[in-house]
Amino acid sequence: MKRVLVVDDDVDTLESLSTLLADKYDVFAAGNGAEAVFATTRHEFAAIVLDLTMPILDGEGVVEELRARNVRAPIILASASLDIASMGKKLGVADYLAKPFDLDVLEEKLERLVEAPRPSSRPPGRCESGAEPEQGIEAKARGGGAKA
Amino acid sequence: MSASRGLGGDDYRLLVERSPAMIRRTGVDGRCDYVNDTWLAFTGRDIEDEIGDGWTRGVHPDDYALCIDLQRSHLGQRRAFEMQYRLRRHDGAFRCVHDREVPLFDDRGWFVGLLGTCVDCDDESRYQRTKSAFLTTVTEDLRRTLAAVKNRAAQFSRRASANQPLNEDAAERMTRKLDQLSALVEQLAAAARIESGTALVLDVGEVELTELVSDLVAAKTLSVSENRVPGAPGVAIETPDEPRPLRADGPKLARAIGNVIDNAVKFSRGGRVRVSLTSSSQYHAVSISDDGIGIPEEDLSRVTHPYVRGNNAASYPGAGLGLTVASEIVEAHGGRLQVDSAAPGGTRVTLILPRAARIP
Repeated sequence: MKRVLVVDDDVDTLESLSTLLADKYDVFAAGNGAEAVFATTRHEFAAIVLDLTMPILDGEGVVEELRARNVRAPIILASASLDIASMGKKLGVADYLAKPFDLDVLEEKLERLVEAPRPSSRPPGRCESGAEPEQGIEAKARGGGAKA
Repeated sequence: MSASRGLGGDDYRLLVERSPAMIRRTGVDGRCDYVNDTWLAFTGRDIEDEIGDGWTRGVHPDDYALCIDLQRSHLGQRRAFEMQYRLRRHDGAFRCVHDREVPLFDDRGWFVGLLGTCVDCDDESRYQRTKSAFLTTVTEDLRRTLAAVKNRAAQFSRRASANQPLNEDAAERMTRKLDQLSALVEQLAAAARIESGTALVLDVGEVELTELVSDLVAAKTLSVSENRVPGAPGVAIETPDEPRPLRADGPKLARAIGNVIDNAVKFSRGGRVRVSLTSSSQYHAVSISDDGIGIPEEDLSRVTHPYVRGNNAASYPGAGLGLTVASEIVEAHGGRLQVDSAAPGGTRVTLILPRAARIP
């Protein structure tokens, strides 16, 4: 099962998207940008579904941080922001979705991205050896781990 | 022609010089050859500083090129036009000015230049900008909340088709998201009412204020913990549990108090939000205080104006209508909203409600 990271500060969106996508993917959930960046230091993802407006580190900050860390997982911006199209272009992400969106559309976009051949990222586990994931990082809402 | 209207040359001079609009004349060579007293009072400069190209030195550098280009092209075409630019006022502040220019012909019909009348539209322009920001915020909040509901509905639908039981907790959370949607629609309704100038209509009944506030605090506490509002540990009520009967519009009063609590939670920066109730022989007072970022003194008198937010509030979510609506509701009950704050150092908002309200 391909691994997908879903990043959103809205608990309901995060929980339901993680559960819905868990039928097809090994889903990891992050409640803000910092958790998302941390998750990428532990795992390699086939795609990232990324919210834009978030506390601690927003979507724009995540894109910049991942680029600096040479993480090449394709990103789908999923945001309620009115200028999501221009933000998508500015950040050079693989795709974007304006909230609210149909789940079918997200699944279709994800499938296309996940199946597309791409250059491999640097290997995971670049953070300090032996370091354990911090408490509070929801890096394991996988496989229906999130409540329905 | 002037004689037929009973006006002499001095009258005309007064009319032009004392006109409430700033007046500027541009000759056929594109150079300013006259500004009236109102213009000089606005810029605080002498006539010698303004004529020729002098007046353009007061135009904001970012607006200069467009301003000059528009004037030059319309002068050549002898056509009327309108433009807005920022012009430096006597106190150094740049104010947005609306300038309407018309071609000027003398009594023989010769084109002699452009006549411009300018008015300071900075307040209106600012209002439009803040209103536009409000619409953006509410629209994005609506889309975000709708997305959460839609995804949850998709999740329920899949579970139902797989004959799996629905999770009660998730259903409960979806209901609360729908409440958030209703609150957002209420914000739009409030904005529509404010824009159309329609008065707030109260539906007055018997209300028990202590119970109303306690229920509200309990609901807000739950909402804070569920939505993981960053650094907000919760809302505490500090009040003797005694009944406080009041004739009021319960749901609207709850909205007013709820708006103020929401604001306090948002700006509390991890501090606790305290809600207290006190009563005198004439008034009940509901106080909501936080240790948050406070409101800068220069914004204090404006925070209840529609769409206005404190200068230090830009990075916090919200649309700038919460206190407007709260103040409006309290005033409709014959009371008033008092805001005490210092930035930094927290804010206390008190809703003062007369015990025997004379509600229209």
